Amino acid sequence: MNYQSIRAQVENPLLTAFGALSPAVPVFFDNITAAPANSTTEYVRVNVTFGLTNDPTLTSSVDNARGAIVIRIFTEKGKGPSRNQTLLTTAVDVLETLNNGTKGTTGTYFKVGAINGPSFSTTETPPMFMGRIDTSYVATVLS
Amino acid sequence: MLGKLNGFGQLAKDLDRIVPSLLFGGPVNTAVQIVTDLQDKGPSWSGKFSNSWVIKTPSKTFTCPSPGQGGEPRRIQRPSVSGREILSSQFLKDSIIFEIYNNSPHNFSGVPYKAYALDEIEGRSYRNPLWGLEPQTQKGRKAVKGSNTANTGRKRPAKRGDIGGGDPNSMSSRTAPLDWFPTYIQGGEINRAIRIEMDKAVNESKRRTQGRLK
Repeated sequence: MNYQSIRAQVENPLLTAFGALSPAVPVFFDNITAAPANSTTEYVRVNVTFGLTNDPTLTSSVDNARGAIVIRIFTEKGKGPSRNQTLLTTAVDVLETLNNGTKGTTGTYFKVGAINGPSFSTTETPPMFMGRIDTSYVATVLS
Repeated sequence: MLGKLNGFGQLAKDLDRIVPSLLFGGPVNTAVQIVTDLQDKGPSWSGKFSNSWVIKTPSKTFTCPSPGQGGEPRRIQRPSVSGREILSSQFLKDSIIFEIYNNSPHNFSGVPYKAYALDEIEGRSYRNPLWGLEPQTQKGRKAVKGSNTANTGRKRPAKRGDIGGGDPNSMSSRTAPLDWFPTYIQGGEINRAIRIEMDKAVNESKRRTQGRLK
Protein backbone atom coordinates (compact mmCIF):
# COMPACT_ATOMS: atom_id res chain seq x y z
CA MET A 1 0.00 0.00 0.00
CA ASN A 2 1.29 3.40 -0.92
CA TYR A 3 -0.63 5.95 1.09
CA GLN A 4 1.62 8.70 -0.19
CA SER A 5 0.60 8.11 -3.79
CA ILE A 6 -3.08 8.06 -2.82
CA ARG A 7 -2.75 11.35 -1.00
CA ALA A 8 -0.85 12.84 -3.93
CA GLN A 9 -3.71 11.95 -6.28
CA VAL A 10 -5.97 14.45 -4.57
CA GLU A 11 -3.56 16.96 -3.06
CA ASN A 12 -1.52 17.77 -6.16
CA PRO A 13 -4.44 18.73 -8.44
CA LEU A 14 -6.01 20.85 -5.69
CA LEU A 15 -2.72 22.63 -5.02
CA THR A 16 -2.27 23.28 -8.74
CA ALA A 17 -5.83 24.51 -9.26
CA PHE A 18 -5.84 26.95 -6.34
CA GLY A 19 -2.29 28.04 -7.15
CA ALA A 20 -3.36 28.92 -10.68
CA LEU A 21 -6.02 31.34 -9.47
CA SER A 22 -5.25 35.03 -9.49
CA PRO A 23 -4.48 35.79 -6.75
CA ALA A 24 -3.38 32.29 -5.73
CA VAL A 25 -5.22 30.88 -2.74
CA PRO A 26 -3.08 29.03 -0.16
CA VAL A 27 -4.01 25.41 0.51
CA PHE A 28 -3.19 23.68 3.79
CA PHE A 29 -3.16 19.90 4.08
CA ASP A 30 -3.05 17.48 7.00
CA ASN A 31 -0.30 18.00 9.57
CA ILE A 32 0.44 21.49 8.35
CA THR A 33 -0.28 23.89 11.14
CA ALA A 34 0.41 27.03 9.17
CA ALA A 35 -3.28 27.74 8.60
CA PRO A 36 -3.50 31.26 9.92
CA ALA A 37 -5.38 31.66 13.17
CA ASN A 38 -7.64 34.70 13.14
CA SER A 39 -6.64 35.34 9.56
CA THR A 40 -8.84 37.54 7.47
CA THR A 41 -7.34 36.36 4.21
CA GLU A 42 -8.94 33.46 2.41
CA TYR A 43 -7.46 29.99 2.43
CA VAL A 44 -8.36 26.36 1.82
CA ARG A 45 -7.98 23.45 4.19
CA VAL A 46 -7.95 19.89 2.82
CA ASN A 47 -8.14 16.80 5.03
CA VAL A 48 -7.71 13.35 3.52
CA THR A 49 -8.69 10.54 5.87
CA PHE A 50 -8.40 6.79 5.45
CA GLY A 51 -11.24 4.45 6.36
CA LEU A 52 -10.89 0.82 5.37
CA THR A 53 -7.57 0.04 3.75
CA ASN A 54 -8.83 -3.23 2.36
CA ASP A 55 -11.92 -5.30 2.72
CA PRO A 56 -11.31 -8.93 1.71
CA THR A 57 -15.02 -9.70 1.36
CA LEU A 58 -15.36 -7.01 -1.27
CA THR A 59 -12.15 -7.56 -3.16
CA SER A 60 -9.15 -9.80 -3.08
CA SER A 61 -6.90 -6.81 -3.63
CA VAL A 62 -4.98 -5.71 -0.60
CA ASP A 63 -4.03 -2.41 -2.20
CA ASN A 64 -7.48 -0.95 -2.10
CA ALA A 65 -8.12 1.98 0.19
CA ARG A 66 -11.23 3.96 0.95
CA GLY A 67 -11.69 7.15 2.84
CA ALA A 68 -13.00 10.67 2.88
CA ILE A 69 -11.87 14.00 1.49
CA VAL A 70 -13.04 17.06 3.39
CA ILE A 71 -12.43 20.46 1.85
CA ARG A 72 -13.09 23.63 3.81
CA ILE A 73 -12.93 27.01 2.13
CA PHE A 74 -12.44 30.07 4.32
CA THR A 75 -13.32 33.49 2.93
CA GLU A 76 -13.90 36.89 4.38
CA LYS A 77 -16.87 37.13 6.69
CA GLY A 78 -19.68 39.57 6.04
CA LYS A 79 -19.20 39.74 2.28
CA GLY A 80 -21.82 37.22 1.17
CA PRO A 81 -21.28 33.67 -0.10
CA SER A 82 -20.23 34.53 -3.65
CA ARG A 83 -16.46 34.34 -3.27
CA ASN A 84 -16.71 31.20 -1.16
CA GLN A 85 -18.88 29.51 -3.75
CA THR A 86 -16.49 30.50 -6.53
CA LEU A 87 -13.64 28.77 -4.70
CA LEU A 88 -15.86 25.77 -3.93
CA THR A 89 -16.50 25.44 -7.66
CA THR A 90 -12.75 25.16 -8.22
CA ALA A 91 -12.56 22.36 -5.65
CA VAL A 92 -15.58 20.52 -7.07
CA ASP A 93 -14.15 20.77 -10.60
CA VAL A 94 -10.91 19.17 -9.41
CA LEU A 95 -12.76 16.34 -7.65
CA GLU A 96 -14.89 15.67 -10.72
CA THR A 97 -11.80 15.65 -12.93
CA LEU A 98 -10.29 12.94 -10.72
CA ASN A 99 -12.97 10.58 -12.00
CA ASN A 100 -11.73 11.01 -15.59
CA GLY A 101 -8.65 8.89 -14.92
CA THR A 102 -8.46 5.50 -16.60
CA LYS A 103 -7.28 2.34 -14.96
CA GLY A 104 -3.89 1.31 -16.30
CA THR A 105 -1.42 -1.27 -15.13
CA THR A 106 0.70 0.97 -12.96
CA GLY A 107 0.20 3.95 -10.69
CA THR A 108 -2.82 4.66 -8.54
CA TYR A 109 -6.37 4.45 -9.78
CA PHE A 110 -8.53 6.96 -7.96
CA LYS A 111 -12.29 7.52 -7.97
CA VAL A 112 -14.39 9.85 -5.86
CA GLY A 113 -18.03 9.35 -4.94
CA ALA A 114 -20.93 11.74 -4.51
CA ILE A 115 -19.97 15.14 -3.22
CA ASN A 116 -21.86 16.24 -0.12
CA GLY A 117 -22.54 19.91 0.31
CA PRO A 118 -21.63 22.65 0.21
CA SER A 119 -22.66 23.63 3.69
CA PHE A 120 -21.83 27.04 5.05
CA SER A 121 -21.24 28.20 8.57
CA THR A 122 -20.08 31.11 10.58
CA THR A 123 -20.52 32.10 14.19
CA GLU A 124 -20.01 35.35 16.02
CA THR A 125 -16.43 34.81 17.08
CA PRO A 126 -14.59 33.27 14.13
CA PRO A 127 -13.51 35.91 11.64
CA MET A 128 -14.11 33.79 8.53
CA PHE A 129 -17.01 32.39 6.56
CA MET A 130 -16.58 28.66 5.96
CA GLY A 131 -17.90 26.53 3.11
CA ARG A 132 -17.44 22.78 3.33
CA ILE A 133 -17.78 19.82 0.99
CA ASP A 134 -16.88 16.21 1.54
CA THR A 135 -16.78 13.11 -0.58
CA SER A 136 -15.72 9.50 -0.47
CA TYR A 137 -12.93 7.97 -2.50
CA VAL A 138 -11.71 4.55 -3.52
CA ALA A 139 -8.07 4.23 -4.50
CA THR A 140 -6.36 1.20 -5.95
CA VAL A 141 -2.58 1.07 -5.96
CA LEU A 142 -1.68 -0.87 -9.10
CA SER A 143 2.07 -1.03 -8.68
CA MET B 1 -56.06 -30.08 -1.46
CA LEU B 2 -55.35 -30.42 2.22
CA GLY B 3 -51.69 -30.71 1.38
CA LYS B 4 -51.83 -27.43 -0.53
CA LEU B 5 -53.63 -25.74 2.36
CA ASN B 6 -51.02 -27.07 4.71
CA GLY B 7 -48.41 -25.66 2.35
CA PHE B 8 -50.02 -22.24 2.52
CA GLY B 9 -50.20 -22.54 6.29
CA GLN B 10 -46.51 -23.34 6.45
CA LEU B 11 -45.78 -20.45 4.09
CA ALA B 12 -47.72 -18.06 6.33
CA LYS B 13 -45.78 -19.31 9.35
CA ASP B 14 -42.51 -18.99 7.48
CA LEU B 15 -43.36 -15.47 6.38
CA ASP B 16 -44.18 -14.59 9.96
CA ARG B 17 -40.77 -15.87 10.92
CA ILE B 18 -38.74 -14.13 8.26
CA VAL B 19 -40.57 -10.82 7.97
CA PRO B 20 -39.30 -9.58 11.35
CA SER B 21 -35.78 -10.71 10.52
CA LEU B 22 -35.51 -9.31 7.03
CA LEU B 23 -37.79 -6.30 6.90
CA PHE B 24 -37.44 -5.03 10.41
CA GLY B 25 -34.79 -6.90 12.37
CA GLY B 26 -32.11 -6.53 9.71
CA PRO B 27 -32.43 -2.77 9.17
CA VAL B 28 -33.03 -2.02 12.86
CA ASN B 29 -30.07 -4.11 13.97
CA THR B 30 -28.02 -2.37 11.29
CA ALA B 31 -29.13 1.02 12.55
CA VAL B 32 -28.39 0.05 16.16
CA GLN B 33 -24.93 -1.19 15.15
CA ILE B 34 -24.26 2.05 13.25
CA VAL B 35 -25.25 4.12 16.29
CA THR B 36 -23.02 1.94 18.48
CA ASP B 37 -20.14 2.57 16.05
CA LEU B 38 -20.87 6.30 16.02
CA GLN B 39 -20.87 6.37 19.82
CA ASP B 40 -17.57 4.50 19.93
CA LYS B 41 -15.83 6.54 17.23
CA GLY B 42 -17.24 9.95 18.09
CA PRO B 43 -16.15 12.45 20.71
CA SER B 44 -17.20 12.18 24.33
CA TRP B 45 -16.50 15.05 26.71
CA SER B 46 -19.68 15.34 28.75
CA GLY B 47 -21.32 12.42 26.94
CA LYS B 48 -24.37 14.46 25.92
CA PHE B 49 -23.58 14.19 22.21
CA SER B 50 -22.95 10.44 22.18
CA ASN B 51 -26.20 9.84 24.08
CA SER B 52 -28.28 11.89 21.65
CA TRP B 53 -28.42 9.53 18.67
CA VAL B 54 -31.90 8.68 17.45
CA ILE B 55 -33.14 5.93 15.10
CA LYS B 56 -36.43 6.82 13.45
CA THR B 57 -38.35 4.07 11.66
CA PRO B 58 -41.71 4.42 9.92
CA SER B 59 -43.47 3.17 13.03
CA LYS B 60 -41.22 3.88 16.00
CA THR B 61 -38.45 6.09 17.28
CA PHE B 62 -35.63 4.63 19.33
CA THR B 63 -33.29 6.60 21.58
CA CYS B 64 -30.62 5.85 24.13
CA PRO B 65 -31.82 5.55 27.72
CA SER B 66 -31.99 9.12 29.14
CA PRO B 67 -31.34 10.78 25.78
CA GLY B 68 -29.25 13.95 25.79
CA GLN B 69 -27.90 13.32 29.27
CA GLY B 70 -24.19 13.06 29.99
CA GLY B 71 -22.20 10.00 30.93
CA GLU B 72 -20.71 6.98 29.23
CA PRO B 73 -22.33 6.00 25.91
CA ARG B 74 -25.61 4.21 26.59
CA ARG B 75 -26.66 1.80 23.86
CA ILE B 76 -29.99 1.81 22.08
CA GLN B 77 -31.77 -1.43 22.93
CA ARG B 78 -32.58 -3.76 20.04
CA PRO B 79 -36.39 -4.06 19.90
CA SER B 80 -38.23 -7.34 19.47
CA VAL B 81 -41.24 -7.20 17.11
CA SER B 82 -43.27 -10.01 15.51
CA GLY B 83 -43.97 -10.24 11.78
CA ARG B 84 -47.72 -9.79 12.29
CA GLU B 85 -47.14 -6.62 14.31
CA ILE B 86 -45.00 -5.22 11.52
CA LEU B 87 -47.43 -6.18 8.76
CA SER B 88 -50.37 -4.68 10.63
CA SER B 89 -48.57 -1.43 11.41
CA GLN B 90 -47.87 1.55 9.22
CA PHE B 91 -44.53 -0.04 8.54
CA LEU B 92 -45.25 -1.35 5.05
CA LYS B 93 -47.80 1.24 3.95
CA ASP B 94 -45.24 3.77 2.92
CA SER B 95 -41.62 3.75 1.90
CA ILE B 96 -39.35 2.00 4.35
CA ILE B 97 -36.90 4.57 5.55
CA PHE B 98 -34.67 4.34 8.57
CA GLU B 99 -33.34 7.65 9.69
CA ILE B 100 -30.40 8.10 12.04
CA TYR B 101 -29.75 11.54 13.43
CA ASN B 102 -28.32 13.28 16.44
CA ASN B 103 -30.62 15.35 18.60
CA SER B 104 -28.00 16.85 20.87
CA PRO B 105 -28.84 19.68 23.25
CA HIS B 106 -27.69 23.26 22.58
CA ASN B 107 -24.94 25.10 24.38
CA PHE B 108 -25.33 28.51 26.03
CA SER B 109 -24.84 30.21 22.65
CA GLY B 110 -27.73 28.27 21.18
CA VAL B 111 -25.47 26.12 18.99
CA PRO B 112 -26.13 22.36 19.12
CA TYR B 113 -23.23 20.31 20.45
CA LYS B 114 -23.37 18.19 17.32
CA ALA B 115 -22.20 21.08 15.13
CA TYR B 116 -18.88 21.06 17.03
CA ALA B 117 -18.77 17.29 17.54
CA LEU B 118 -19.16 16.64 13.81
CA ASP B 119 -16.45 19.25 13.03
CA GLU B 120 -18.95 21.30 11.06
CA ILE B 121 -18.19 24.67 12.62
CA GLU B 122 -15.29 26.29 14.40
CA GLY B 123 -15.30 27.27 18.02
CA ARG B 124 -13.09 28.32 20.89
CA SER B 125 -12.74 25.18 22.96
CA TYR B 126 -10.99 25.49 26.27
CA ARG B 127 -10.99 23.68 29.56
CA ASN B 128 -12.61 25.36 32.51
CA PRO B 129 -14.31 24.34 35.74
CA LEU B 130 -17.73 24.75 34.12
CA TRP B 131 -17.19 22.28 31.25
CA GLY B 132 -14.74 20.21 33.25
CA LEU B 133 -10.96 20.30 33.37
CA GLU B 134 -10.86 16.84 31.83
CA PRO B 135 -13.35 14.69 29.91
CA GLN B 136 -16.23 13.68 32.13
CA THR B 137 -16.48 10.21 30.65
CA GLN B 138 -14.08 7.31 30.92
CA LYS B 139 -14.27 6.94 27.14
CA GLY B 140 -13.17 10.55 26.70
CA ARG B 141 -10.36 10.34 29.26
CA LYS B 142 -9.04 7.21 27.56
CA ALA B 143 -9.23 8.84 24.12
CA VAL B 144 -7.23 11.98 24.95
CA LYS B 145 -4.15 9.94 25.78
CA GLY B 146 -1.58 9.43 23.06
CA SER B 147 -2.11 10.85 19.58
CA ASN B 148 -5.11 12.89 20.63
CA THR B 149 -3.05 15.34 22.69
CA ALA B 150 -0.80 18.10 21.30
CA ASN B 151 1.94 19.95 23.15
CA THR B 152 0.64 23.30 21.95
CA GLY B 153 -2.70 24.98 22.41
CA ARG B 154 -5.42 25.25 19.81
CA LYS B 155 -5.64 27.86 17.14
CA ARG B 156 -8.52 30.17 17.94
CA PRO B 157 -10.94 29.62 16.45
CA ALA B 158 -10.53 25.99 15.46
CA LYS B 159 -12.56 22.92 14.77
CA ARG B 160 -13.03 20.53 17.65
CA GLY B 161 -10.69 17.91 16.24
CA ASP B 162 -8.02 20.35 15.09
CA ILE B 163 -5.52 20.41 17.95
CA GLY B 164 -2.15 22.13 18.21
CA GLY B 165 -0.79 25.06 16.25
CA GLY B 166 -1.61 27.64 18.91
CA ASP B 167 -0.06 28.84 22.16
CA PRO B 168 3.29 27.01 22.66
CA ASN B 169 2.88 27.29 26.43
CA SER B 170 -0.35 25.35 26.41
CA MET B 171 -1.67 21.93 25.48
CA SER B 172 -4.73 20.79 23.61
CA SER B 173 -6.57 17.52 23.23
CA ARG B 174 -9.56 15.92 21.59
CA THR B 175 -11.65 12.86 22.30
CA ALA B 176 -12.01 11.84 18.62
CA PRO B 177 -9.93 12.60 15.52
CA LEU B 178 -10.78 15.42 13.14
CA ASP B 179 -13.39 14.40 10.56
CA TRP B 180 -14.18 11.11 12.31
CA PHE B 181 -17.75 11.28 11.02
CA PRO B 182 -17.15 11.55 7.24
CA THR B 183 -14.39 8.97 7.61
CA TYR B 184 -16.88 6.50 9.09
CA ILE B 185 -19.59 7.31 6.56
CA GLN B 186 -17.41 7.59 3.46
CA GLY B 187 -14.55 5.29 4.36
CA GLY B 188 -16.45 2.04 3.96
CA GLU B 189 -17.03 1.17 7.61
CA ILE B 190 -20.74 1.94 7.50
CA ASN B 191 -21.09 -0.29 4.43
CA ARG B 192 -19.38 -3.09 6.31
CA ALA B 193 -21.74 -2.66 9.28
CA ILE B 194 -24.75 -2.83 6.95
CA ARG B 195 -23.45 -5.92 5.18
CA ILE B 196 -22.66 -7.80 8.39
CA GLU B 197 -26.02 -7.08 10.01
CA MET B 198 -28.07 -7.84 6.88
CA ASP B 199 -26.13 -11.07 6.38
CA LYS B 200 -27.03 -12.00 9.95
CA ALA B 201 -30.71 -11.25 9.21
CA VAL B 202 -30.67 -13.42 6.08
CA ASN B 203 -28.96 -16.26 7.93
CA GLU B 204 -31.45 -15.93 10.79
CA SER B 205 -34.40 -16.16 8.38
CA LYS B 206 -32.87 -19.26 6.76
CA ARG B 207 -32.42 -20.81 10.18
CA ARG B 208 -36.00 -20.04 11.23
CA THR B 209 -37.50 -21.53 8.09
CA GLN B 210 -35.05 -24.44 8.15
CA GLY B 211 -34.08 -23.65 4.57
CA ARG B 212 -37.61 -23.87 3.11
CA LEU B 213 -37.40 -20.27 1.84
CA LYS B 214 -34.29 -19.34 -0.11
